[in-house]
Amino acid sequence: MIRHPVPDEVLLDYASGALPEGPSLAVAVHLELCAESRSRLAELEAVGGVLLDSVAPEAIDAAGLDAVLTRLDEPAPATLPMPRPDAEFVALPAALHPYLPPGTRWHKPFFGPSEIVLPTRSKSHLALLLRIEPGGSIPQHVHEDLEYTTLISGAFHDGFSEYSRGDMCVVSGIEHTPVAIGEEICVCIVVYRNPIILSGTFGRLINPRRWFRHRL
Amino acid sequence: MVVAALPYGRPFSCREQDERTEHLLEGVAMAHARVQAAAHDVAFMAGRIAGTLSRTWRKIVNEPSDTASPTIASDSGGVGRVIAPVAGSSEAGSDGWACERLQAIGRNADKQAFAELFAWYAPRIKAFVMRGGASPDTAQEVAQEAMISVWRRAATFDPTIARPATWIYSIARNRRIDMVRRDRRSDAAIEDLKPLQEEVGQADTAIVALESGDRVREAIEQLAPEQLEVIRKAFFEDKSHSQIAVELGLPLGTVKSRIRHALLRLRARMQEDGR
Repeated sequence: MIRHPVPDEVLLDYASGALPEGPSLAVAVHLELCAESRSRLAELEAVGGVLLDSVAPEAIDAAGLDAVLTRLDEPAPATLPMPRPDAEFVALPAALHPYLPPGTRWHKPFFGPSEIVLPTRSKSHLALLLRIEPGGSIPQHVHEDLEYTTLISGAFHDGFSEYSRGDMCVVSGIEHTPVAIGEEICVCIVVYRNPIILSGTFGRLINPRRWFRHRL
Repeated sequence: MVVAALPYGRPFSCREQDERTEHLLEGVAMAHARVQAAAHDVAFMAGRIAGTLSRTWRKIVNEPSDTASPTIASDSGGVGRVIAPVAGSSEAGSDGWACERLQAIGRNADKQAFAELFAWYAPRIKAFVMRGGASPDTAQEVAQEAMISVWRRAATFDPTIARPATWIYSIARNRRIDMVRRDRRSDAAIEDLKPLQEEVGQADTAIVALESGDRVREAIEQLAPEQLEVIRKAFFEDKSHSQIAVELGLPLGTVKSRIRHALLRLRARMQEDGR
């Protein structure tokens, strides 16, 4: 049961194509796990379809059609066979598979949960897959901009509400400390634009802005 | 402006006051929005109940349903299947017309059908992309690439999941993401969603997605002007809700609540059963 579906305005950005790659990935993972949100997306895409029907057409000359017709017989560009992720990751939502090429490993930083930096083409956002052991937490932090989190397994509580598999949490400008609850390991995708600013006493010393800068 | 650090009675600077007022106004707007949302919920539930009642009534008196969507029959698997495009609706641009052409392409690689579909949709995709600020050349390129994707993927078009215009819209959107925004949104990921669509909620998805274009168009036309504005900006101008807020000079909360109300209204209208 999804208690925290993707907010309407984020889904609208996704449906219109305005949402950048990283956040779109978090939404795509949520969509795989939430039938109701898929149905809401279908409504929005139906709106897109009607708006497409409604625009006054812009002429395309005959050469435009000819150029396309000559390309129809070309074999489709050999679509790279999607490399299957390693066995460890196969059970993760399919939207993540293209981002988990064979050989991907969890990286255990000195501080905080294990992570995988997802290789997005767009560098505007940082997309991380996090694995938080039961009782573990993401250090207290403040978001300067929106942070998009989708829970893939396990559950966490961020001091405001509880999130479990499929739930999506979109927050900005608040301090929160997500803590993994329950027995299961908590796996989630976290996407944000600006480096998080750690606000705890210890956190200030090791502000990841320093460590993340090279990735942005 | 320098203000002495007094423990109390500190005068507000004008800017602070403005900020407070804005904050207060936003609070009022949000409260208003909540009341409106509640009213919408009630209207929505009433609509659903009315819909269920009218369906039940039709079952009792055994009247045929008068919806304009394609005929859906249940096969043994219980999954709705469209038997054939609506007969007699072969007017260019109609759902039945586009379905026939997509199926001709998917089954027989019919170039004539493709040329007809191209003549209808390519100029519209071009216009759509130009409204987002792209140059005519780029927009035409997006339209051409989108139509080539339509050709290659026609066999995967499933009329039980979406109207042709909806399907072509989503392909054109993804080509625009690739080519104009230089971002990535893999079609593969979307394809992978399909089998999942047959789980719970499938019935709802199918009903909404197959809603006749007229019904959706009417729903859009009935939006309040300020709601229509954000929806049009989002789709036509390729702007995120936060960019829309900046452009309209509105607090983010106001734009969010407009979007939420717009979608509530659209949903309520689209799901209303035969009027």
